[in-house]
Amino acid sequence: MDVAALITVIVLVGLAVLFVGQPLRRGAMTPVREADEGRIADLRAARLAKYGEIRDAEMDYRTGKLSEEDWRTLDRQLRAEAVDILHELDTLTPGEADALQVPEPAPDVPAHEDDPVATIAER
Amino acid sequence: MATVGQACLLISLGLCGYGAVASVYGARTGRDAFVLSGRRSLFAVAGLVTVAFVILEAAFLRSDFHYTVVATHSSTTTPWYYRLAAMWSSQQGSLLLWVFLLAVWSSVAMLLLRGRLRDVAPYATAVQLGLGAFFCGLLVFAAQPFETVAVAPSEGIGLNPLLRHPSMMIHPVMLYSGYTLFSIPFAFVVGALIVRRVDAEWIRATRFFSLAAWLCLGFGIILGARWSYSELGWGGYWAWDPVENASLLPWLTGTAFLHSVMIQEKRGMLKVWNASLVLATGILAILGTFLVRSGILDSIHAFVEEGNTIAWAFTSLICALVVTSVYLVVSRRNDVLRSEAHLDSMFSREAAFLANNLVLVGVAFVVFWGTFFPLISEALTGKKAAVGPPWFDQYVVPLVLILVLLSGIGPVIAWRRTTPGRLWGTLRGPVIFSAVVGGLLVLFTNAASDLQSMILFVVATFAIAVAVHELWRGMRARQLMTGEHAPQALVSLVKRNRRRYGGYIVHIGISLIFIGVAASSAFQHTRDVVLKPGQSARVGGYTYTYLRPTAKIEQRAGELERITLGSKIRVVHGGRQVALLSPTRGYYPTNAPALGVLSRYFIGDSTSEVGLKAGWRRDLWIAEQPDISNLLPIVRKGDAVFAKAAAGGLSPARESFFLAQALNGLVARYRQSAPPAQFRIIVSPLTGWIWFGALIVLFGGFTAAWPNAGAARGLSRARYTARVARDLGRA
Repeated sequence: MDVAALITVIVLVGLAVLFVGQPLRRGAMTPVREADEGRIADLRAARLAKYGEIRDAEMDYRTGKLSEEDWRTLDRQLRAEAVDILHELDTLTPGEADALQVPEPAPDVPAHEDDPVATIAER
Repeated sequence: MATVGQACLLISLGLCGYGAVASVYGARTGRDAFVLSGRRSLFAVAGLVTVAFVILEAAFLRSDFHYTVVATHSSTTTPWYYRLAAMWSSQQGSLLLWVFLLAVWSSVAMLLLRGRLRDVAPYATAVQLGLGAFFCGLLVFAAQPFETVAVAPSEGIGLNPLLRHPSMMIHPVMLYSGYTLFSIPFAFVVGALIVRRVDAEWIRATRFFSLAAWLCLGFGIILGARWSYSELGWGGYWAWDPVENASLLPWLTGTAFLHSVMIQEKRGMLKVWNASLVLATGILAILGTFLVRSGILDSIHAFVEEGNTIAWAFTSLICALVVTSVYLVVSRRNDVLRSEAHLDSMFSREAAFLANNLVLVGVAFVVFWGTFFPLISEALTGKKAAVGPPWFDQYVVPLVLILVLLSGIGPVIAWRRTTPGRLWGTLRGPVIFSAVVGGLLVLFTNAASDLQSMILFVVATFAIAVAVHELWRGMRARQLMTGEHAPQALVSLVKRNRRRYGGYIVHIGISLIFIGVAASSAFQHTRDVVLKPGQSARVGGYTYTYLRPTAKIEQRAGELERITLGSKIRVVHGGRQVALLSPTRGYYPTNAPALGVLSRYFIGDSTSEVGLKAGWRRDLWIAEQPDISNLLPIVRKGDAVFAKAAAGGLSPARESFFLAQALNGLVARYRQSAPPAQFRIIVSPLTGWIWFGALIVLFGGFTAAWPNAGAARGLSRARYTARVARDLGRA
């Protein structure tokens, strides 16, 4: 093995040890996650998925795949499920729920922003 | 530099082992520092493997024949762009490519997903590092890419001529990208099962990587088919070859997963099924690599060397993965994998997706069985028996017909439930359209002469009509809702639900591919003929005339790269010339010392370059096998003369001069008096639709995989999302 290669290998090993070992030297021995954090993340994902379902149901109605009666029934059911998710989310993140009560809409919200159905469909 | 490269692999192996242990230890004890250290190990491995990869590529580029792998897989006459790709034609290089892509894609995933799935991610990191350790172990102990010799040979053996094709530069990279990207959802589902958190979040987190894997693998498969069509000289693009099948298997299960995961995301159903599909896809990806590199099954694609020692290692890994996966699914089936809802109706999109999944898995099972039948038969009877394309076709074709039909029905059914009357209302237009197209085909073409193809044409037309109709109806609905102009409404529609409409575009592309496959399989005209210059052959209504032979010496970097013998073929249809084709066969010199000075230019590897005129309606294809038997006696005489001259003290410079004279003379002789050559002539309808359909699939896949701007805005504007949530709560 030539000297240059040997030095390069030693440098690589040193860099790898420094890089990988840095968190251990910092002594960051904090818990991996807070309690309920996983459940909150799940609920947030479920909330987005539920909004997607509500949006899809409306699109199905508007493209003729669902009758108005079926859509209204399904929409009520989906909203009830969304409410359950939101209630649980609020229970786990009460501070966040309060902090989020800011009424101003996003700049690109369409004219029918007061209609939650239309607003969700746009999202 | 070889020492540095080898050291990089050795350090990577150590880091993989350390990182996997640190990640699991950190996760189990709640010590974030170890989790972070484990993740950094993955990044460090990516860096080190990249260094090793670059060192080896540089060796190929500068033709450093001290590296055994370079000397045996490249040469100075190999063009520089093929030298870059020559690396993965070798066992060692392809394994290094695998671990390089695994490390890079895994690091990208961990960077993009940092802060999310924090309890699952350490286990996913450990799985990725475990796979990395396996491949690094192979590279360190079994297939060393940095093995060198003290005295380098003056010339390398060269890249297998079959691999000198543009597709082959990208095809393996895309396949391996697909395989390694599929390891990301695989690793995350293993982590999710370990921590018992199999919910919507891991699906959302890994969705992009699942789609990217599917896209890369699909593109790789198509590139392989294109290579087969234009390089192998048999005129086909798919032969149910074991290695082709091995890449198709994870693509099929991955396709099933991409559909069924939507049901879990929306309804919390099919959790066992989805977890099993992701695990199976990850394992099948490893199996695909194994089949290419092990040579346990005979394949034109298995570029495997003698003395292969990696089969046992792959077998052990696959067994371990299967056992672990089965244990995880079975042990979690009654708690976290329990379904949260039931199927509301058979007339629902969930039901259609479920049926689509069953068919896809059915196809995968047929392909798996047919591929491994030689091994199964050998184990049971002691004889290795293989099944051919007709066996695959008899099972796969009916399943594909159902699949295409379902791909048309699925998009028009509402989630949860619909009524038969409403379903018919949405299907009526596409059904009538496809029936009309079917009628026109019966009246004006001979499509009805092959029933299966005819059915496929109709159902594929139906699926395309449904997808186009859905895009149109969605656009119209959006116009009514927002007052946008049609193009703007269409773009907005797709942008706001990229996955759905990207999926519809993919359906259109897949249907076009199947139309091309059905037409080119059932209505292809093929003829093998022997022609002398001036003679003609009539195939599928086209007259192919052998105008004249061609022959030339091609040089690169001052060295002879190959001798190309071929012909000029005129194709006439309806009294009009429609194409002038130039099929050739390239003869690459070999370094075998036992061969004479001239023989080595004619008795080495040779490969076919087909003459092809591609079109929307049909491809005109021709491959040639020149007859060099009349040249060989002269070549042998020349060998003897050169041997005698060399013994008499002929200098190398004079030998080169006379060699050039002799080769030019031989080439001129072939041009002037070529003997009859053998040709395979094919007139193949709609083959171009396969490649065009693949481009549409690619576009649709990109559309679906592209990060959703709406979703990103939704996340960044969580405050506004909360307002929507409150509105929902009041509703």
